[in-house]
Amino acid sequence: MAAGEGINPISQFEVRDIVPIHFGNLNLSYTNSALFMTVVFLLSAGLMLLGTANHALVPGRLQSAAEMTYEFTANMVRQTAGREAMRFFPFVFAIFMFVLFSNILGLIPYTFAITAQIVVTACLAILVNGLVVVYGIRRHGLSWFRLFWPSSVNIALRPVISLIEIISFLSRPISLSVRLFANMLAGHITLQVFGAFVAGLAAAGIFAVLAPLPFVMTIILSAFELLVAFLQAYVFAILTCVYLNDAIHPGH
Amino acid sequence: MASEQQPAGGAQHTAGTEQAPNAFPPFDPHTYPSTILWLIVSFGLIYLMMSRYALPRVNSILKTRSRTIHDDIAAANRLRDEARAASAAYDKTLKEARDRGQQLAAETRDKVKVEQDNKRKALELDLSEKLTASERSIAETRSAAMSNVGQIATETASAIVQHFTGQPADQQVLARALVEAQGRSA
Repeated sequence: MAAGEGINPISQFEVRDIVPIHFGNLNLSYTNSALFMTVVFLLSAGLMLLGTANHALVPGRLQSAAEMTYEFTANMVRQTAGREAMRFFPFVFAIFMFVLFSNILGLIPYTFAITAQIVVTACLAILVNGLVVVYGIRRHGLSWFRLFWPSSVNIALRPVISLIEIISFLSRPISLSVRLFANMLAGHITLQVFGAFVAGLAAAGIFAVLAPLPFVMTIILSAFELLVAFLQAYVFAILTCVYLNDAIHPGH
Repeated sequence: MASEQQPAGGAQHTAGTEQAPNAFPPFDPHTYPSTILWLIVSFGLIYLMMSRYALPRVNSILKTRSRTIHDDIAAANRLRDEARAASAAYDKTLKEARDRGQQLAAETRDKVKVEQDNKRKALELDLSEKLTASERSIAETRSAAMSNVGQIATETASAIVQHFTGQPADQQVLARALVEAQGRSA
């Protein structure tokens, strides 16, 4: 039983080939991960394009949802990184949509959690931080590096602060990616473990009377994971805005 | 490296099992190239869709709505102002009409009063003229009557004098005496 495919809490994260594509040693197969990324694309397209297809003056349900998402993200960018950061609004919006739909889609049983893959969250984090560095230097030149040399701090303390700033900047991609990855991974493992308890207890004779307990727990955890799914997408997007703010306004 | 191990795990066609079957799947680097590729494709598509089509469309919808609401409120304000202006004009017209009516009434009253005064004055004048004429005719009649009385008195006095003296009276003396007597009695 414990060795069964559905009970192993790790097997849900396995990447399986659906359409094998190989270039020499490189495996670029269309996998279940790629399939669910496609679904995420289709869902976000469905919300943002189908929802607004009518250009209705009085919005329907889907259009309201699309407009709310738009204004929510726009306000987030404006308040966190300032009005100038609105040039990055499509980028932040795409990040938010991708992470949010990935997180929520992964909660449906038998789906694949894209954001529980460290490579996905790491790529997104590197993309965000790479954008911060490239835009910061392109806009402010080398003076952008004064971000790590805060002139408001006492000169005696400045080297120490500078070191801390540099370390904190370098650890940003790690913290950003691991936060999302670990949250999703832990949530899915917990759900799977409690689900396995239900199945195990139900098959254990007299102990089957205890089976509803982990089942109730699974329900509660599912609701909690839905909150985490939204919260982590929000955190990822708002941290993106905070980092972009450093690229636009390096003077703190 | 991957190609060497592929025959071992090739039966399941599983990217994750190309290495060790018990590896923690998210940390299996053999799945990375494919995941990165499809991540770039799907995220790129989402970004293009959002930046080219979805977000400008939502933006235009929101702008159209806020402009419509703004225009409607402005139109409502304008109509309200117009209604107030019309109401004020109506009040003004009403006041003017009332004032003119009162003025007209006052003028008419004054005119009628003046006419009546004129008529009364004319009547009074006429009456006073008639009165004067009557008084004059009475005076004439009386003086005529008085002169007749004087003649009668002369004849009577001369008759009395003739009867007493037997001879005709001196007309001059008689007339003087009569005038004296008349002056005494008048």
